[in-house]
Amino acid sequence: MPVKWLLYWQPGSAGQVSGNILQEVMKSIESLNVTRGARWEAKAAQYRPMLRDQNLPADFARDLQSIFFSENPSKFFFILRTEHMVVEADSNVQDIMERLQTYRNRLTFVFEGYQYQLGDFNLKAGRAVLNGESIRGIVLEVEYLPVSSIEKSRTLLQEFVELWQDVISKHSLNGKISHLEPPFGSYLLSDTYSWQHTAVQYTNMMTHFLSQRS
Amino acid sequence: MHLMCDLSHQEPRWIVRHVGGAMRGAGAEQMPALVRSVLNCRISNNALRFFHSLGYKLDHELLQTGFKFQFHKVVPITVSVTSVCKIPKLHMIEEAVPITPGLQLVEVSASTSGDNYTEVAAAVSGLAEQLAPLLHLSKPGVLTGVVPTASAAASSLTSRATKVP
Repeated sequence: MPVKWLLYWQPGSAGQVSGNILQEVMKSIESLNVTRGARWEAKAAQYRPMLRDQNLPADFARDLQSIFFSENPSKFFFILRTEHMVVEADSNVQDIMERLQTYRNRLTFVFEGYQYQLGDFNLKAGRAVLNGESIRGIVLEVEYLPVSSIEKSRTLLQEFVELWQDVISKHSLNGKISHLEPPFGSYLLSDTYSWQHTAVQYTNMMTHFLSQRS
Repeated sequence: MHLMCDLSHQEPRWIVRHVGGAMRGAGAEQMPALVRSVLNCRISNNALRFFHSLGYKLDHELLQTGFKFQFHKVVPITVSVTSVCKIPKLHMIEEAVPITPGLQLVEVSASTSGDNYTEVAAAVSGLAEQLAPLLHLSKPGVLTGVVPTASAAASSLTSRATKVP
């Protein structure tokens, strides 16, 4: 599977993310020789255990997250951050979790936007919305189609991001594209990119946005 | 909830299965087969550690070896003939010991949607009747005793149907 980098828009001083900034970012992408594709969506969630007796010592994980990608609808991913574990399952695992009634959805993050193709690169631009209400961030994803090795694609992707930053800067946007280095090593993920890597990147991004002030 | 690992392939394949309660009521008692909801889901091979981290505790561990046969009688029906073994030490499948040495468990099952379980239960019952000379099959929880020709039943299934390990 081709390598993807998930990036986010870091506003300049006293700036905030908003739908207008996303529109400007998308205009900057569309100023290149891109082919606009379909909409995309990823739904992430954070859970809390449903403890019948709050006084009982809890062996329950407090940091369970999940993510579902519209591009890969047959699969569902769980992340346990403290255990550095990513679990991949068929998407009907949601029905099983619903029946088990041991964890409840505490909050939902939806990443949504448009995708574009530019030669060997697929680009995505979108917003991250918390509980269907507030925009907590703007995300950008770049996928380099020919290469599956994370290390081999690193330099080229870094150069692409720098070029992309130059393009966006010409549209007078106050801020920059930032890369949140994903903790693939601590999850024991290999150098060959996969959907599990994507799951770790998006849930890591969700945690990052939640830690920022709204 | 069950975590099952298929050891018949080079790479183990894990499945998480949720088995719901049996259908209840007068209609269910009249049904010749047990009807209950079962959800199967493939999952990555860290499933055991995952569910342990979520707070689930291991209740028991079993090894089941044998054969599965597929029939088509109105609907696809699966018959499994297996030996069920207990595992004295955690995960040590090499030391598994049959719970009922010399005896196999025969299970007949079929999938049904919400609106055709009567028809499916009748098909399962029909197959059980066909096997009656060799096997006494009944709803789970209703003891039938052991037919002396149990091993002959497995051989008969082997010779009659397509074998699906």
